[in-house]
Parts: sequence; C-alpha cells; structure tokens
Amino acid sequence: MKDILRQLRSGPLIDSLIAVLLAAAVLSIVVAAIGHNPITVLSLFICGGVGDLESIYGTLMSSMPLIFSGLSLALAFRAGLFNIGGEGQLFVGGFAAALAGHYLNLGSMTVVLMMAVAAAAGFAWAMVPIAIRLYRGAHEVIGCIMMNYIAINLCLWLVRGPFRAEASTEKTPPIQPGGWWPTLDTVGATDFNAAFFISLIIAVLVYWMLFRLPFGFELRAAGANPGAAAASGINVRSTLILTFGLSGALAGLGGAAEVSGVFGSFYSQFSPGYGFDGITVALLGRNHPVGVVAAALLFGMMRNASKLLQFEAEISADIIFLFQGIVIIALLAARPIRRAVAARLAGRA
Amino acid sequence: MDWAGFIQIGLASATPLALAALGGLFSERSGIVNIALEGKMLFGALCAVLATYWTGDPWIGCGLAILGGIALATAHFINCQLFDADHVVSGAAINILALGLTGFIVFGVFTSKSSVQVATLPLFDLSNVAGIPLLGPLLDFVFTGMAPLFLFVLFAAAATSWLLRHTPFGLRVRACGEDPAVATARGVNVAGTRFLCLLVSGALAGLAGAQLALGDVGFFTERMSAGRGFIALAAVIFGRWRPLPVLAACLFFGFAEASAVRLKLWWQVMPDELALIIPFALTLAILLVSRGASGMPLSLGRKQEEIELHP
Repeated sequence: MKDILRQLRSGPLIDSLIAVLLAAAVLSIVVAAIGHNPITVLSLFICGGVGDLESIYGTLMSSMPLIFSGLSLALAFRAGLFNIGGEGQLFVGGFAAALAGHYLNLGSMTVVLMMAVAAAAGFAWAMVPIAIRLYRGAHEVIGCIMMNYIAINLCLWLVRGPFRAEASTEKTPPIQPGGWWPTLDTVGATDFNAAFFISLIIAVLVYWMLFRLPFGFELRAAGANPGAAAASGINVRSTLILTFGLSGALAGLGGAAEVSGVFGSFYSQFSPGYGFDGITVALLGRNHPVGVVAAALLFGMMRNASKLLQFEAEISADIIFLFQGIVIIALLAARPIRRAVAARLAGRA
Repeated sequence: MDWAGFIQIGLASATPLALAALGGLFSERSGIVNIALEGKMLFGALCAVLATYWTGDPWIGCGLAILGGIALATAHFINCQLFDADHVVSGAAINILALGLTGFIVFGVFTSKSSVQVATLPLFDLSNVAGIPLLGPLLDFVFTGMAPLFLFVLFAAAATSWLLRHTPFGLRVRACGEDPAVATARGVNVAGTRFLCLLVSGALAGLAGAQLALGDVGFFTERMSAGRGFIALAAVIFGRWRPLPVLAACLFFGFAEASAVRLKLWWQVMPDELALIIPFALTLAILLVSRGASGMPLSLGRKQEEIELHP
C-alpha cells in the first residue's frame, strides 16, 4: 500500500505508461469508428515495427532521428524553453551536411565533418528565436515556427533548383563514400548502419552533460527557478542562449544522421515530421535521455510500421500525429489525476 | 497596376488572420497563452469543407467550423485551467492533435490528402445598386467582391475593443489576465471567465479556418493553415494585446501576403518557395525590431502552481 502511494505521488513512469495505454485505447475507438478492426491495426503496427529482422532494423533506423530530436527538445525543456523549431533545424542541418559531404573530402573523416557542420547550422538557426525571446520578450515558439517555415522552404528551393542533382528526384548530389556511416553488411542488414549507435552515444553524452557537468546543473537550475539561479550567481541569460543553441545543434545532428546514415544526400522528403515528433518523444520520456531513447523506439516503430498500415489498411500515417496529440494531453492529465487518487487513498489509509 | 484587385486580395488574406488574432486576443487577455490557434484554424477549415460537402451550404460549413474550434478550445481550457498544465505544451498538443485528426479524416473521407472542390462563401455583389446616383457607385466600389467575413471582422474588432474596455465582463477578463489571485479575492469566477474567453477564441479561430477554406479556394488540403495561426499570434504581440492595433497588424500581414502573390505575377521566375518565405521572414523581422512584450497581460501563461509559489 505504501509503495503504491509513493508511486502515485511521484511516479513519472506510471504517467507515461498510462498515457500510452490511454492513447492506444482512444485510437482503437477512432479506428473502430471508421470501420477497421483495432486488433488488425495493432497487429499491423507490431508486424511492421518488429515483425522480422528487417523491420526491426527499419524501426531502429527510424528511431535514430527521433532520438536526436527528442534529446533536442528534452534539453530545452530542462531549461524551461520550448524548441518547437526542431524541424527547421533538422532541415538546415541535413542540407548543410549534404553539401559539406559532397564538396569536401576528408576520407573517412568526412562524416565527422558533416556532423560538425550540421551541428553548427542547427546551433545558428536556433539563435534567432532565443534572441527574440531574451531581448524582445516574444515567446520563442513564434520565432521557432517562423524559422521552421523559412528553413523548410529555403531547403526545398535549393534542392529543387540550384543544387538538384538529377531531374527525376529532388536530391542533392551524393556525398563522398567517406560521408557514410559503416553498414552492418556482415549480418545482411544493408539498410542498418552505425548512425543508430551514434545517436545512442550522443544520448549518453547529453546525460553526462545534464547530470554530471556544472553546465548541466546551471541549465536545470535556470529551468527550475530562474530567479533563484540568478541569485546564486548563474548567468541565466547566457545559460539559456547556450542551451537553446545546443538544442538546435542536436536537431541539426539528426539531419546529418539521416543524410549519412539513410539517404546519402539531402532528399526533399527526408523528414516525415521528425522535428515535431521530438516534442512527444521528450515529454513521454520525461526529458530524461533514457526515457527519450525508449520513447523514440516506440515512435520509431510506429513511423516504420506506418508504411505497411497505409498500404494494407489505407490508414493515413497522420494517425501517428493523432496518437501523439492524445499522448501529450493524457500526460498533462495524468499528474493531477494521479495526485488526486493518491490524496484520496492517503485519506482512507 | 490593378489596385482594386490588390486590395481585394489583401483584405481576403487579412480576414482569417484577423479572425484568429481576435480569438487569440480573447484567450490571452484572460491569461491563457494560445498557440493552439493554428490547430483550431486547421480543424475549422476541415469542418467547414466537410459540412459544405455534405449539405452544399457554405454557411452551414461556417457553423460546423465554429463548433470544431470550440471543441478544441474546450480541450485547451481543460488542460490549462483544470489540469494546470503548461499552456504552451497544451497548445502544441492541440496543434499536433489537429494535424493528425485532419489528415486522418481527410484521408478517410476522400482517400487523398485534399478534399474535393466545394461551394465557396458568396462575395458581396452590390452591382445592382450601382444605378443609384453618387452613393451607388461608391457602395459598389467598396463592397462588391469583398468577403462578408471581412465586414464581420471589422465589427468584431470594434465590439471586442468596446467589450474589453467598457463592460464589467471586459474588466473581469482583464483582471483574470493581470492577476487571477486578486480577481478571485474580489469574487471573479476566474475559471468561468477564462472558459467563456476560450469559447469565443475557439469560435473565432474556427471561423478563420472556414474563411481560409471557403473564402476563395473551396477545398481542404493537409496543413493548409500553413503557419497563419502563428502569424496571427505575432500580430497579437505587435498590436500589444489591443483589438484595433491587432486588426491593423493583421491588415499589414494580409497585404504582405497579397504583395507576395503580386510579386510572383510580376517576376515570374521567382521560385514559389521564396515567395512563401516572405510573410514568415517579415514577421520575424518585425519581432526582431519591435518591443515585444510591452502590453502583455501580467499573468499570461502563469500556472496556478507558480502563482501560489511566487505570488
């Protein structure tokens, strides 16, 4: 009984589990309402996501950009900032990486250069919204959205016009061979490559920075209580600027990982909304790197399975956004409801 | 240059922005941040097209759009007021929900990312009064070809201004936005007032979606709101949370959009993507040069938890 009470009082894991189950339940009703069997849809999600080795590799590769964008959002949330600009940062990061990977050849170091360029592009793209927030007072979300539309349209123009490699597809010229992460050919998984492990390494680095470095402490302090942080000698403004920049850099890295792990060039359709998925991934993962990776695997599975779903059941991939919306609202509801239940149980005990 | 056509396009582009911005204004003056305008607009646009598709009457489409906006606004209210959630996170959730819902429904009904063509809202046609001496041609020139919802926007902005400034209800709304604790102490029902404001906000944002879908094009396509909800929110900031300046800001953005269309006609080699960037770049530029937060309701976006900790 005491354990249950404690979990109910401070159980973020429970919130996330309840939110996912609740969202799945609502989605089942919606799916049934339009005349599909929810069990069939669920089994399509599972078959397409983890049904065989090939789909498991596909799921891991779809999770990779979500780990990056989830970490990006989580870092900003920890500092009390909302980086809804992940999609734009992903686009500029991916585009910059593709250009660097095509025009510069550093042998096997090309891929590292591409990551660095993408991180710098994402960092720079995040500077505008945070500057507007800190020096002009308008919420960073508005600046981020404007920067998203500018980034997406700019990259689309560049890939359709000046940097188009061939008439048949909207792709930039291919990157150097050294720009690819190595694949795991030896086990027959040609589509699966080391970029996934890079995303895990970055997750570990973010964990280390957040919980082991002084900067991570300052970041969390600035997010928890800016007044108290400033009073204890933390330069809140520069902490927020650096945090938002790093958040943008993480999203940009996601774009580079897509280029050097999946497409080998910048492709106009290279993101089905990974930057926006990061919002749900971060919130569901409770802004913790371990949670982010877990949530990214879940949504990576859904993204990977959505092709099968669209093909077999003619259900739009937008169902994932519907699921995400319900998950976030369920997460928002879970805490007050959990507390109310805990209070009632405590009263009875 | 065809000035009449330019003005017509400018006013038509400003109308959905101004409807959404007035909606945002109601919500924000009562203290609730509303980045969900985008989602409500998108959902309103789909509701408008579906109702028009089923009944053939675009005014019924407007009605369903209002209901759709209100439904999402109610969800936003429950999140922000009852669950005491972060307003921006709740707004983002509603936007994502609307994105998924509209894509899912439009694919379910039309098996495509876009709907079929439906009837559009009629434009004013006063050419039959043009025979009246002096007044006739003037009325004809001013009103013919104008979107009826634009006139509604003018009326709504004036009414909002009066309501907020000169009525007890307006005073209560402003009290909720400035200091909900004091408002509560003075006997104002903060939750109820905010709920009313959000209902108005949802209705206006839904109507903005209806104008977007039925005003000119007559169909729904995925993500057709294309950031207009956020431009409307920026207009609320430029207008410093005051109805008439907000309306002026929306007119400015509407004419900027019309100029982009005009520029594209005049300079045809300009890529579409660059023309699309213009309104966003302009919004950003103005955000960078304006004094953003002045005039902001003092308790905008503050959670009850925070207010209890740092009154």
